[in-house]
Amino acid sequence: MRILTLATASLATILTGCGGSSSSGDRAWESSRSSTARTIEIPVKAVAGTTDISCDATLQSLGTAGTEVSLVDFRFFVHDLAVVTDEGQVIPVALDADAESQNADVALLDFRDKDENCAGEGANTNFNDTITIKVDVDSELVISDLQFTLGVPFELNHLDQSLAEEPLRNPGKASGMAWSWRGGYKFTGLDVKPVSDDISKNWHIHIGSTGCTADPAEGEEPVPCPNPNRATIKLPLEGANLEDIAIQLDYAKLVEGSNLSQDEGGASGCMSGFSDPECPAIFKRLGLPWGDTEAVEQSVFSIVPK
Amino acid sequence: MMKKPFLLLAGQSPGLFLVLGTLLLSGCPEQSETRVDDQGASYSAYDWQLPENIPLPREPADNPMTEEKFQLGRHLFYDKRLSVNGTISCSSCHHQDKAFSDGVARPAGATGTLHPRNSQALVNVAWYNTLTWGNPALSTIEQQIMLPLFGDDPIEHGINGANSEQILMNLQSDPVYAPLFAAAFPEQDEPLFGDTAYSNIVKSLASFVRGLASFNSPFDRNELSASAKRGSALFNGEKLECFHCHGTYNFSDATVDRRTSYIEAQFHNNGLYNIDGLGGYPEPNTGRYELTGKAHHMGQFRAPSLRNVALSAPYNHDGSVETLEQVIRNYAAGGRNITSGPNTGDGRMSPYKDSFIVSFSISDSEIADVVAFLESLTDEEFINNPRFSNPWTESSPQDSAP
Repeated sequence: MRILTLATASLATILTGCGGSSSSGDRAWESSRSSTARTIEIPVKAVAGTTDISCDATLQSLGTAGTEVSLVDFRFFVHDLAVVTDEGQVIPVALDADAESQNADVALLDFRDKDENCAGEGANTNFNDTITIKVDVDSELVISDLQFTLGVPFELNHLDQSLAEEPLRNPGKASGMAWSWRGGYKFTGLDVKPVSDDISKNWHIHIGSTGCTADPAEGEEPVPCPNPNRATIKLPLEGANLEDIAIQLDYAKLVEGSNLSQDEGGASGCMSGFSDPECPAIFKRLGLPWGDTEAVEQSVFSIVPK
Repeated sequence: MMKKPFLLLAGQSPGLFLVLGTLLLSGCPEQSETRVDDQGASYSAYDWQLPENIPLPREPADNPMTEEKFQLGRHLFYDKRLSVNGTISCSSCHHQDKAFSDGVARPAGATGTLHPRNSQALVNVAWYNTLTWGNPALSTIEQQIMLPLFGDDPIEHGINGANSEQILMNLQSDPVYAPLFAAAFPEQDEPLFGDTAYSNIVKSLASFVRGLASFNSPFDRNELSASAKRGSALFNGEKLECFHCHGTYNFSDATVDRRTSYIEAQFHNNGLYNIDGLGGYPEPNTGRYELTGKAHHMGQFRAPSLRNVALSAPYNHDGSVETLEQVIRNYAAGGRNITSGPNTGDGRMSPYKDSFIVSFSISDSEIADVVAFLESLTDEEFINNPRFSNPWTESSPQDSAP
């Protein structure tokens, strides 16, 4: 049954691809294919424990020191969306290129609901808490997981930012997410400000590819970076339909093992620097390897009801 | 086949280099627009106005040099409207009379943020294989210009998504720009008003910076004083070892041109810091290490060209050395020993110090000779060349002459 279904789908694809000489036979195959393309808006919820993240929110009891913080920046890129079947088959899912803050390859989530990095009075016109996907999967298949990768794919990460398609353009939606000095983009810009008066430093979480070099003889774009730092996040749907779910990021879980009231060296917080003492705890929770430490399962993202 | 020996010899003996250069290029036609090199691919639509012995620099395929882009870039380079609050232009930190450096240890951006690094002189930038003090991933001027314009750590010009439209409108409202953009990008319908405006701005600025060529110093004209000649011998001798890192016709081992088929990116630790006894440099200026994370890259910076170096004080990546004499004394000591303050530590003992940073004994008169040689690399024509000067009239608000 299953083999037959797959064969049917493949044949339909082949016949559709031929173009031109459509016959009634082709249409018969088409109509027997039990799948319909669906456009689905998947909300993304950013929380810190039980508090929704916003510019006005005070996020409490965070990390090992129970620090209280306010928001400065809260953005991240995702790409390579896919659904995973109960048989383990990974089926790529297209991003809706017409949806706000995303193109066919990358989506930018932006939880700053006010302008000037939460310091302003006006609304942030780039606010985006939705990923819009186009799913075209045989309805016979059982989808068990939703998968995505945090960050910008390598093929788009080191191109001319001033000409890039939104949301990768700088200046543009990617302003402040450009990581020109290291090359490419920040995959995450999750920055908070401790409320306490005696802490002056913001706590940043900038994940991005590191160790990138250019070929100095050719003057070309960087070659693949030794530390890509792209976390692939696979989230079990637990039987829920794609139409009924939201993706949740819990900042409290991300900084669970971190002390936001101090910084022991390197950049303030974790900016992916090699000797930054704040990075191992953050990388671990995102399911990224750090140096010789192998990756464990991520604990930051989950599926929740819409 | 001759390329590599050519570069090596150039570092060892300027005289020999000149002779060889003449021989190698003797087949070239007179016009500087069209030149033939030993790879047979060095046509430029731009008149580089170079002496015969200097090979053409590379031009990016997607941004070949043109006089029109150079002239547009020149206007933009001197335009303070290209910043968040109209307070700085590129020329704020790059003054022509200082070979496009700025005379301060560390410059401040439009919003007052102090940059961790010393402003580099903009001299023969087109011939560098990597840009900025310590970044092996930055290999085109176009990429580099994104940093000061749009970077937020530190903020320099401070252009971002919130203000970029308004800044563009300010440029659009000046009638000077429309014809300049149209001439620079004739293939585009709306080079100043369309989707490519910022890309065009970056490409034009890069073209201006790429065109800042300086090869007409007393050294180039073989007009060295007796003292400078003695300094040249010291500079190129095995006692001081200067030429290893400051070799080639551009006095930097990070030099690349159209003949180059292979070059390894070069970065060096010159023993300025050792804050932890393990060779550590103070954050955030850890040099190439910041980008690669490799321990032995700690404190490694790219050797800058020494052309016009007498004009670009203070020195080193953080502007922490005030005079050329002190630079030479640091090298004579085999590094710098800091005995007080937060950066206390003996850089001479750094395990990451370049093997050519060896101590040597040098007299005061020998130091004066080396300085005289370095001063012979000052190109008066370069710093007075009207082609590189502020094109805006003094009455215009965007005049940003320092």
